[in-house]
Amino acid sequence: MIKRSIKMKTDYLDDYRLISDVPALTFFLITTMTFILIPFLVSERWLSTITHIALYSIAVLGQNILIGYTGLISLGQSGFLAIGAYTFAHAYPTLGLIPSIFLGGLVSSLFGLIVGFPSLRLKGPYLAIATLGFSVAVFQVLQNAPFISGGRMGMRIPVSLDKTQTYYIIVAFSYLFFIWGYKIVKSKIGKSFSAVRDSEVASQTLGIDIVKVKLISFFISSFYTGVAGALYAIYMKYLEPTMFFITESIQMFSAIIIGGIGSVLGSILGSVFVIAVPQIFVGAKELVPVIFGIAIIFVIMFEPLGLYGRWIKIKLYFMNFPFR
Amino acid sequence: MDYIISGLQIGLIYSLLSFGIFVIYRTTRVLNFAHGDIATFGTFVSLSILEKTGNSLISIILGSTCGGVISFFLYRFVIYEGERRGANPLSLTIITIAFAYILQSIEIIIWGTEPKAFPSITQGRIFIFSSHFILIFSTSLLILVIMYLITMRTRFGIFIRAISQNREASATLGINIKNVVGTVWFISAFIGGIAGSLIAPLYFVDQFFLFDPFVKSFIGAVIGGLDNPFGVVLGSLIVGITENLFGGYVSIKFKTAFVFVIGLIFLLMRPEGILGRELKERV
Repeated sequence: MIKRSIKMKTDYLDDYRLISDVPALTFFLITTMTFILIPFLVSERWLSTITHIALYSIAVLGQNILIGYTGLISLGQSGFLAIGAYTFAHAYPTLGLIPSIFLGGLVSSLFGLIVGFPSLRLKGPYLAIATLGFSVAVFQVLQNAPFISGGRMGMRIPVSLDKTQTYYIIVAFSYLFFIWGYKIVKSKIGKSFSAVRDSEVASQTLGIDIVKVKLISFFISSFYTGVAGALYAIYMKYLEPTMFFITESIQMFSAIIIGGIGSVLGSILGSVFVIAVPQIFVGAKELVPVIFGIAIIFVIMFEPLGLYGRWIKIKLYFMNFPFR
Repeated sequence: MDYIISGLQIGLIYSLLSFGIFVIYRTTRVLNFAHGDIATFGTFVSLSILEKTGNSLISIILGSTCGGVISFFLYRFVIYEGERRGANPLSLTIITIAFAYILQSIEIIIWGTEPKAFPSITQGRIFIFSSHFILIFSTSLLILVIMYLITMRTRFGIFIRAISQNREASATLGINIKNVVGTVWFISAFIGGIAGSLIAPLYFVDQFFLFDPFVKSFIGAVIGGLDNPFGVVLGSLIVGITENLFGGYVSIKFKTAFVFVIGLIFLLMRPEGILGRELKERV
């Protein structure tokens, strides 16, 4: 006799609900408590690492909505990150903290729409090239326009927050954005994202407006990435163009692949991997890209769903434990 | 006029690089993002051999061969295995990105991050052209003509064309896909290595020095159409010349950004490229 059979989702609301049963509620409460208590438990260095992971996972989730759910391969992440960060840096002295974070997201998402228009005609690797071009263009503009980027000396941001305050703000934002992302993914528009990814023609026959869906996907993802860029500016308190080189895009891409394409939880796992591995291998910085690269190759060859897929398998194994 | 000549020179290099991208794309349906990094690796090896022996011809050939062997192994042990497991071309493309990542850091570990100078093979000027331009011009034309003859006139070329048209059918007709495509990857990286060594005296050699030319040749290939070898070469030449004219007359700072703008405009007007056929997708 199976003690606890797998709970099936019987209607749409069941799927949409964030907290559906008691275990999920406990899990939710425990994670919330942990996040509140973390500043008192860990050393300063790890607190800073966790802050970095929290803000990075926002960007990864946003790009995962674009790449994983809608299937539009984009390498423009570093450009959106830079736009968000610099918008924040320029808006902060006049607008204050929270409004300029959202302004960073908005400006970035406007650029997302501009980049999104070519996506209506381009597919797969072609789109990757076009968006790669976008991030290279943003990088070049930043390097050659000192009035935006503060020139070679970089740009200081006069945010007066200590590490714990920064941590709480960033974690609060990533909480908000993750709950929102979960809702987006489960909502009608999220389902049409995956429909467009699986077959454009078939989803057209089902009455999905592909143009609208793709543009919304670009909008949302670049909004997420822009907000993450603004939070990055708060976290670093200092900006210079080389922080937004093209390798940043590729790193974010590897976070998506390693964490799991098309999953919300996978975005967190992937950014934990991408941020924590360099922290662990501080002594051998050159080896870090090798580890990323080998991890990506292994994930694609042996576990196409990434760390998230592995997690699902472990969970299923324990859910019906004695049976396989 | 000077700008056109230097644009022609860089455009020929781009066309060598984009030809490598093109043959791999035609036979494997993978856009090889590691192409530039494999070529960089070859250039590094030939630079090291050049410093040891002093003979530039041998060192360039050996270095390019080394890059080619790496590319062959990448195909044989990673891409081919991935294909066998049923990975789609997109995830294979991602694998090449990951491989590029690995190669870059291996280059840093072996040769360090400091830019190195690559001595030019020839010095002086012939008529109004610098001799290096003559070298690039003749070598790349020679390579392109040889590649044309190989693909059009030899048995191996027939294999390549057959595979690019229908992979399964050519496998059933007894073509050893593993080896033929592996050789194509080898040739592509070999040409890339030669292109890297030819362009190296114009820049300094570090692990990112081919990134810019590689991306631009990519755009050139897309502009010309990834279906047609002539289109690929033509697109690369267009990119090289317009880029240099823009850099000379308007602004040298925004040269790269300008190339991307051209690429975007072309992609919006003709997504299949100048000489390409129209793309159609099956449901």
